Amino acid sequence: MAVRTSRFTETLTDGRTALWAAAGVLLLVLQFGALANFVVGLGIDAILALPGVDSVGFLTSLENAIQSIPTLLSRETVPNQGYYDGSGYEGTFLGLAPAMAWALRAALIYLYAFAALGWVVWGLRIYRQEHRAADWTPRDDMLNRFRGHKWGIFGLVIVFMFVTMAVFAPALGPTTVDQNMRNSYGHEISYWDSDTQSVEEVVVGQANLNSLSVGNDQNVGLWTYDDYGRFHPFGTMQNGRDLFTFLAVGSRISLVIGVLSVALSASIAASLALTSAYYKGRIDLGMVLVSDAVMAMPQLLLLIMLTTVLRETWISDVYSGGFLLALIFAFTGWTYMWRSIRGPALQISEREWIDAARSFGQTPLTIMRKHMLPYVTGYLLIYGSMTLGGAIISIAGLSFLGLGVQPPTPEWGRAINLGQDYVRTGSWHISLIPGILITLVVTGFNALGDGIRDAIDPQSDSAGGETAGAGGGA
Amino acid sequence: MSDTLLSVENLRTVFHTDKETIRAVDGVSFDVQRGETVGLVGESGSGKSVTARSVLGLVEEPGVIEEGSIQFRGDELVGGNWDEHRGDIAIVFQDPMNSLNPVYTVGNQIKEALRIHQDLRGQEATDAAIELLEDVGIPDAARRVSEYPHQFSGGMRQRAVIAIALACDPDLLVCDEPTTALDVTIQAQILELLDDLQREENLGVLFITHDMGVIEETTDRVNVMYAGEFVESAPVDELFDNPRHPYTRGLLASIPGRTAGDERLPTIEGEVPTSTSGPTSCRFAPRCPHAFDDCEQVHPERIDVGDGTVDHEAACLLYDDRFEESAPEEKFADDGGERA
Amino acid sequence: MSAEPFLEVRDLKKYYDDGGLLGSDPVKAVDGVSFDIREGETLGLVGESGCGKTTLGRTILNLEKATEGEVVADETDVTSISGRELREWQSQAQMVFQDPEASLNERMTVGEIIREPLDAHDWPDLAVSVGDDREVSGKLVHRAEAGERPDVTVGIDDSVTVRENAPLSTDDVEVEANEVEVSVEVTKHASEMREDRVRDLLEQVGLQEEHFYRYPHQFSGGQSQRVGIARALALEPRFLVLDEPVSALDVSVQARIINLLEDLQEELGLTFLFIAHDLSVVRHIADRVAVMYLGEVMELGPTEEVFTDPSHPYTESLLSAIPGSLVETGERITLRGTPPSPRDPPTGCRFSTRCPAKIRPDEYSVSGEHWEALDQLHSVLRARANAEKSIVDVVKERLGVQDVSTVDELLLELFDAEEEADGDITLHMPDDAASVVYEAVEMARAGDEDGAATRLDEAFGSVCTEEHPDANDVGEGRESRCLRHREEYEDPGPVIEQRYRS
Repeated sequence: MAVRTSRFTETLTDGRTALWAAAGVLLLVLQFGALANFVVGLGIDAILALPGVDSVGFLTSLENAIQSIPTLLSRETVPNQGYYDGSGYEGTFLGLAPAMAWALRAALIYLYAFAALGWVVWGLRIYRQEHRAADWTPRDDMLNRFRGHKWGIFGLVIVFMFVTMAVFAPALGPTTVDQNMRNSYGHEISYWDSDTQSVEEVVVGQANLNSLSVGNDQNVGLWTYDDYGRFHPFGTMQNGRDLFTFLAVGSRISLVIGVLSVALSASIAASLALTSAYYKGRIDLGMVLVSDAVMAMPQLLLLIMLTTVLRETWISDVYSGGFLLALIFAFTGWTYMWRSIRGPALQISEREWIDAARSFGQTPLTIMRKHMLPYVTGYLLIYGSMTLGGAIISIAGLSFLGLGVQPPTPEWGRAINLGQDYVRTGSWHISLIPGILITLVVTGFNALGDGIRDAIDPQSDSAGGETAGAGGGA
Repeated sequence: MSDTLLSVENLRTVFHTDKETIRAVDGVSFDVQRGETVGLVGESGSGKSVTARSVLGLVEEPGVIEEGSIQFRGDELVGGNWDEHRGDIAIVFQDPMNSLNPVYTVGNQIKEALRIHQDLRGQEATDAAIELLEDVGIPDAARRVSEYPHQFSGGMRQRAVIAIALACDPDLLVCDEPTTALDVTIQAQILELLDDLQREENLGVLFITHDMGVIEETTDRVNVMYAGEFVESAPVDELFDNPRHPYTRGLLASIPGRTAGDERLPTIEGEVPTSTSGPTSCRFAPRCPHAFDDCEQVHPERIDVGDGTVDHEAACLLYDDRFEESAPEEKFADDGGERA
Repeated sequence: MSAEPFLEVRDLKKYYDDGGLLGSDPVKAVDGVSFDIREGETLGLVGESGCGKTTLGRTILNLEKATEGEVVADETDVTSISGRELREWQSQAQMVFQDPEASLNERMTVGEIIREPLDAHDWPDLAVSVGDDREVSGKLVHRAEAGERPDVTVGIDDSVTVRENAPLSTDDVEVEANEVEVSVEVTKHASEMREDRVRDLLEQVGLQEEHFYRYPHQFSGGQSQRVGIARALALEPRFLVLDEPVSALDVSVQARIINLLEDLQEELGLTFLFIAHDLSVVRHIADRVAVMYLGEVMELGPTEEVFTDPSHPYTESLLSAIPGSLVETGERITLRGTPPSPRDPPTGCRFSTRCPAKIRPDEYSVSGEHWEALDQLHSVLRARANAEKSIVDVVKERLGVQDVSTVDELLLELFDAEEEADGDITLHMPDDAASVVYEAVEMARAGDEDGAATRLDEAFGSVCTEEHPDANDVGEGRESRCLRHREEYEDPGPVIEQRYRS
């Protein structure tokens, strides 16, 4: 043990690493509050999801306490919800116009996110160059190939921005869900009334009612202020609520459901594929029959049926039906991934090192984990990233039909639904903006999948040329 | 028509990879006459396969023939003129399962070659195909001609590949490790077949292998290749009786069964280098038990080391008169190799 | 080298079932093999592809489940053990594979590869011997059983000695003893011991320490094979099955690996089963050699004797097929045809379809070439009988629309016969023999190739096609499975001389 700790301190005191660690600490400090808030918030959600738990008091006060920790990228530090008081802006960051303040905060958030990403990459590079014992691993080649893959990098950027939006949603929107949607009649804001030339107060709910986007006559479009001096980057919806906030918070649920269902699918698919590839014979045959049976079930109909049947149960309440959706997707959709992985898994199981491992008595489970899984993970990533895109579209589609995530939880598909009547009017933004975002995000995921596939595919390597150059090896 | 089918002069084939340029074949010259079997022997990394592919015009990106000439019956091939002579040079590769297309019948594949090179079609072609299969010793050829490659055994597949090669009515046959993947008794059959065919059709054969026994058996003249260069060339008997180059000697000595008794096999230490720079020294020097200082500075040229009656050349400074003083005392007397 | 048989293989059989629903013929990969392996020796196992030598090696190690027979080591039949006993056996008997590229996991470093067997067996499990009956307790230790070599010895005065090649020293062992039990605590981490062992192994096989963190494909073929050997030696086995360990390597690299194997054998007292198809390698390294053909051992004996004076016709053919002047065998005998399918082995002696010394029935006086032609005709008919027939062929057969010409062409081709003007074929053979051939040809024309082959068998077959030869004792420690070793028949050697070399 002593050896370990001394090596640890040795690592830290090396110049570059110390610098890197310091940078990490700085990043952490800046956002500690938000981080804690996020984690605690999830925990509270989880607790509330448990059947029978209803007490809110203690948890709310905990939530508030966490929220009071100052963080850089919060709406308290860089506020944008100020109002014009005749001469300047009151309550916004540095007296800037709300639009500017919001844009500044959004930019800071994304800057921070990319800085964090850069910090991670920097750390990996230091590790690779200084602290790793092996001077080369197969993963190095893959990462190098990915780095040169433009489409894949594009996909990665899009996906990262999407994830950032989901993570920083409360801080990113010009307003909050609580204030603008859930509890709109419990909040009041101040605004500059151009009629009375003075600062007035109004209940948010009322303000919403006067900021509807319902066609050419009455519309609050992209990047405009409404009559109450509130800034709307994406305009308002047909019920007057801010579209950007709606989408930002909606991204969370899309991401969570997507990730959950894909992760679950992948786990099921991987374990079954490895098992059937290792044992082959009847087990493989049985697995094929089972997966064929599952695939034969119409996924959409099953989804509709299950969501309806389970509507009254507690599962349906978690995340407003999101959790249920994720489960259904996972348990009906694993077959696609299983099919795709079965081929490579069977190929790997024929390799001689599996035989060698059996010959010295390695247990089947360990063989599957150590000798087969690493070769299958690449395929899991590829199909997983593409399936994720598919999951997002499916969820949006279902919400559009009214079957997916129930109101009042925001969801992109529902926004499209809500705006469909106004597509040919001045309020086109309600449907089109979420539509474009969905397309962009799904394309991003597919591009990422492409990039990963090319990175792990050895055919695209120049290794072929080298072996040929070495004389074609007899 | 002269008797020289193939004349290779100073061939250099390189591979341009991201990291470096690999000189797989670096200045190689040899001839193949009609009715002669020329052997090319070397280990992996020697460049013998790349030489064969260069001669056949099968070098692909990132490989390119940078220098030298390959003349077939007087016509220069380098520069892309292989298509004219496709029928005259035929190939037999190592792995018949890879050379035969599994979704077409064997007869179909022979007939394809017949159609392209001899313009035969229909029943004529089928008959010719059956005859070719008989020529290569496949029993029940009439039935076999409509079977698929997977229905053939390994030896029969290789015979089928030879039949396809013959369908082109070639003058020159290039065989790249044709028997390496086969069992020893089947190998004996195939070698016998190639021998018969060469005599009957008066073919020139370029035979590439790493197996010294096969070389001894099959070839008339041998070239020993190391790191892209020829280090020794001689008629086969001469090479085995009097190997001159230290690499050849080391190679022969390390074959089990050539050193008498139960002794440890003598070995050549080190690994085959990948040549990335031009020849400025002897490439075998780092591993050579007889290397001296000049070996690292001077690139050895081919020197006549025969006794006047045979055409025996070796590229080694030990035989270069210019370095007589600095070379170590011992040179190899005529008791060179030991033949069991 | 002791005379104690370390391993006894008794009538071992391994059949592969197709698993088809219609119960087709199983592939008889190993069909009744028996031999001994003595401690410290190298037994070579040669044969061509499909003879079953690899399957035999794998079955001995329990990588394949034996269908019948037993493999006895230390008085236990290792083909029927499982669980803990099996792991015991696996730590004693290991395999070195043919292709180092394929048998090493590309994603693991060399260090991890060599270490894996140690991790899988929770190595080390040190054997502690105490002078009396006291219990032994502690992690990583167990009480040394009878006959087991102790790693740690606790003397009467509670002094501690450690075996020389043990993975730890006396400093790493703390002993607390009372009247009832001896508690042994090992202060060195198992992980550290394993790492040290891996480094030792790397050195032993001629690699460097820095190779610990390299990946297999960064190595050359010879170095990768060294890694494979190191992995096989990790658990300190007594017995190694080497499945063509040098076939994938260049000649000069091959020599170094062979030297390494010989050195290791001497140093560690290992017993080798050396499977190869390269006879010259086997001649160099093996003390005794077994020649396999189609699932059976045809000849067995001391290497040098088998090579210089082969008893079995197959061995002789094999030796004469080696190219080059390596082996002095006189003129080459080129075996005809290909080995039959293990799914449908010939009746009687398995080698009968290709044997150059096949016993011929006296009744017919047929020339040597024609005898061979008859053999070939028989092979072709059998091949046709077993061939996959396309639907068109089957329909043709049923309708009686056979391709008559092909059978005739066969006769012309094989027997150097002539076609008469009326389409009949004249064979230049004595009438009695010729008539049998015509009968068989008739049957073949009608689509009954199986029957045709049987007809030929009836007439031209001899004891070679009827009886299955036993392994005959042909001299000191030599055996050969050929009917000609019986009193009434000439020995194979002279027959071959006469037929092919005079």
